[in-house]
Amino acid sequence: MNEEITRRAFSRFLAGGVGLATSSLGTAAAAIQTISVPKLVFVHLRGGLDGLATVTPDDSITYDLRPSLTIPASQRLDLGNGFAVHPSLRFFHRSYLQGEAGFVHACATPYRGRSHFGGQDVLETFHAHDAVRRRGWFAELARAVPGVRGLAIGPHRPLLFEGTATHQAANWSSPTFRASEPSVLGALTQLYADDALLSESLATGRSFSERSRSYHRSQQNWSERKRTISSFETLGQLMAGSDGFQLGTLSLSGWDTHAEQKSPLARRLANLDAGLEALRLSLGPDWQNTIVIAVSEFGRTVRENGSKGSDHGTAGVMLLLGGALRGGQMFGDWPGLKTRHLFDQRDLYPVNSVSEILGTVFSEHLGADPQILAHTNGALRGAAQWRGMVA
Amino acid sequence: MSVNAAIACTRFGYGAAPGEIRRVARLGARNWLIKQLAPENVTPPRHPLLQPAKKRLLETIGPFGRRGFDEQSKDDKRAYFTQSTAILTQEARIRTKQGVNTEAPFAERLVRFWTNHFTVSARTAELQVTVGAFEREAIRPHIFGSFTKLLQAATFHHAMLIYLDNAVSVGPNSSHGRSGRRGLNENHARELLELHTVGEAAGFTQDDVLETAKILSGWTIGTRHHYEPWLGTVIFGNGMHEPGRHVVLNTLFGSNGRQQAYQLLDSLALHPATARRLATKLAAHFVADDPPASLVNRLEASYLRSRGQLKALYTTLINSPEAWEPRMQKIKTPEDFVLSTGRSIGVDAILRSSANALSSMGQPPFEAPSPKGWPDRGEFWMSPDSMIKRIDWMTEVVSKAKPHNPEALLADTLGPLVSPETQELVLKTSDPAKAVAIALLSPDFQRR
Repeated sequence: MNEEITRRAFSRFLAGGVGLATSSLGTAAAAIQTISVPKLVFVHLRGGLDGLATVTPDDSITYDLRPSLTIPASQRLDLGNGFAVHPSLRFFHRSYLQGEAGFVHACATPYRGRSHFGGQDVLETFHAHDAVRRRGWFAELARAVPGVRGLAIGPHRPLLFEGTATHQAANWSSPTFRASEPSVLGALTQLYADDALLSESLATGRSFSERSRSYHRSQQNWSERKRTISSFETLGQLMAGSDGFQLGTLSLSGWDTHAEQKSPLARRLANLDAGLEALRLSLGPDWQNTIVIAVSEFGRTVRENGSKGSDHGTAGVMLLLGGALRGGQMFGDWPGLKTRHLFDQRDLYPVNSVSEILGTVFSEHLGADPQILAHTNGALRGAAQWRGMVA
Repeated sequence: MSVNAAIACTRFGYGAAPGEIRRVARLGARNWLIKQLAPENVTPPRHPLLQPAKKRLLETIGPFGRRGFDEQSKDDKRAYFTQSTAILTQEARIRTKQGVNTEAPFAERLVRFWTNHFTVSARTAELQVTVGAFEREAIRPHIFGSFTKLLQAATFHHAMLIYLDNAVSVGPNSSHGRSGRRGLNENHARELLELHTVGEAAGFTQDDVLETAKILSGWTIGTRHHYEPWLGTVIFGNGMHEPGRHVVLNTLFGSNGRQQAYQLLDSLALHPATARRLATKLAAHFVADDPPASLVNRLEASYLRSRGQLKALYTTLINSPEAWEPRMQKIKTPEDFVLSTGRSIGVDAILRSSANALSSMGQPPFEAPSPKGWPDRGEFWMSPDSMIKRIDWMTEVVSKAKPHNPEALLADTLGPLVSPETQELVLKTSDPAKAVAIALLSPDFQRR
């Protein structure tokens, strides 16, 4: 299949999948060339990131509460506002100083339980009730932003995409087995010609694999770091350009640090940081119209536990990056770490709302109709407080 | 006629093994299917790793097991979690083998249809070690009797009570509830109405869900803290049951504790909305994503007439002309795609890579994303990613398998169903491994 055909398949997918007449595409493609489309990347950090170890307040009480988890101030990367980031987050720190990164501390979803699954389900749906937790928030976003398309990196569609058609929100993953030879793909393209579902799916799959240039190698023996970087890179490649996906998502797991958390957390944060940098590179100029949000289902306990780790908590930290962010600052409120200010006397107090922030970014950045958003899911009602985030 | 034999193998089964189409043609396609409808055709293989749910649950560390979580050392915990994952892996492997080797593939497909209808997903260690047993204990023995019995078995199984949290649901006015530590959990109640029986079309309300949860409250498993003499056993604990009479879908259920749930399940199983839902689901599973109304109506009538007798329902399906239409409308799920590949080129060729293959195609064994189970629509399984993963896997599997003659393989696997286009392309491909891969990736093989 030549480049022109895969390009067409890719645009066709982005323009609405199977059934769209090819004839309208030439003009549509020409029209979108010049417009820079706002993009949003949602990174789901599964397991409960330790927000206080990631973005640490310059407060001596931190050492008292978590003596073996707190990295000395001299090693932390200072943000100049009473907070410093973990030394693994070098790219984040640099971006912050350039005004392209920021954070919200003490934020949480409405979920107040302690189960990972329960918390993750709420983060991907913002529904407090089991019954409606089968519809991800992307379904609601898609109603408020006509034509938006989502892509998840991974072998299946996340809960986030539930309630949308497969041509609105797809998934794409690195090869598990050796990537197939072009001669087989060519033969199948011919064989599928009369089967609309198979031929469209194959054409789109081939266009994805050609766009994600790292597809060709099996990653079975790769280190986690290399795989993380490659996932972010692939996401950027498929989102880049005015014909790329507008919403991208991927999840990273392993943040559930109950014991001896210091070095595994440092390693994972470094992987995340390297991944974000790779995303910036692969998005190219589109980094300027992008906002990246990285957040967990909940935070961790303020005090360290008996095994030099931390347990499931309530509020945590949200990291934000991108050229479309008015960065270089902390957004929202900070409740402090005094015992009387803690939630249930053990957790960072949830003073900032994750769903409110996302709702605001949906409308201010992606142009979602706030009334449609609020109507379909009250949790996604934005708030004036967050409007200043978007540049 | 051998077209019907090939359809029987493919649409109703896991695809034809070598020689099977001819054998089925001799027996008669309908006859072959009807003969499979007996519980002895779906008994699980004997294997030391396949153990009852109760035994597995007692080995867990936590409330349902003999050992408490907090008393275990870090190494013991780690060893335990490694072991529960290993059990799940073995369960999946044995189940794959059974799917490929079975001589009653239609009966086996029915087992898995119901396992998916009553989805339990292996989200925790306790579920990892009991999902396999769930299918053996709650599904396999009951799929040829009445739906009521199947519903009871699935509802009151360890794995289901844990997965949908009924094991921890406590009626607020029960003796446990008055101590105030725990309350009702309506998860199981909601899925019982919405997914297992009447469905949304019945128009149930939040009140119906709550009342159902009250009726189900008390159905639990003995733990180290409650009902300790019954540790690991499913029981009705009156002390957790919400007392009183409850109304669900305008039907009153009297205040008779344990019997209340049985009466509710009876009533839900025979509800007209359940008949309609199950008829639609079965037709959509075997015939077409959007099945013809005539077929759904006939299945529904059969269900109502027989009061939910499942063997009668399957027989109606087999005797329906819509089920034998030569046009192949369904896409194989990844599981069925992998199993039918095994039937075509041999189980050894696929066994080692099957779990990785299924995960990469989006259907990891025993890990459906929600209680809703795996979807039954072609566009879900034919996502661009899943399509490329099917091709990658097939190319690799065929290149490592023992050589096959492409022409013979086409005749054995697809018989009269092969299209002239596939036939021509396969025969003109000079590399035999590539030719076999193309045959098994053709629309003729991916559809049924």
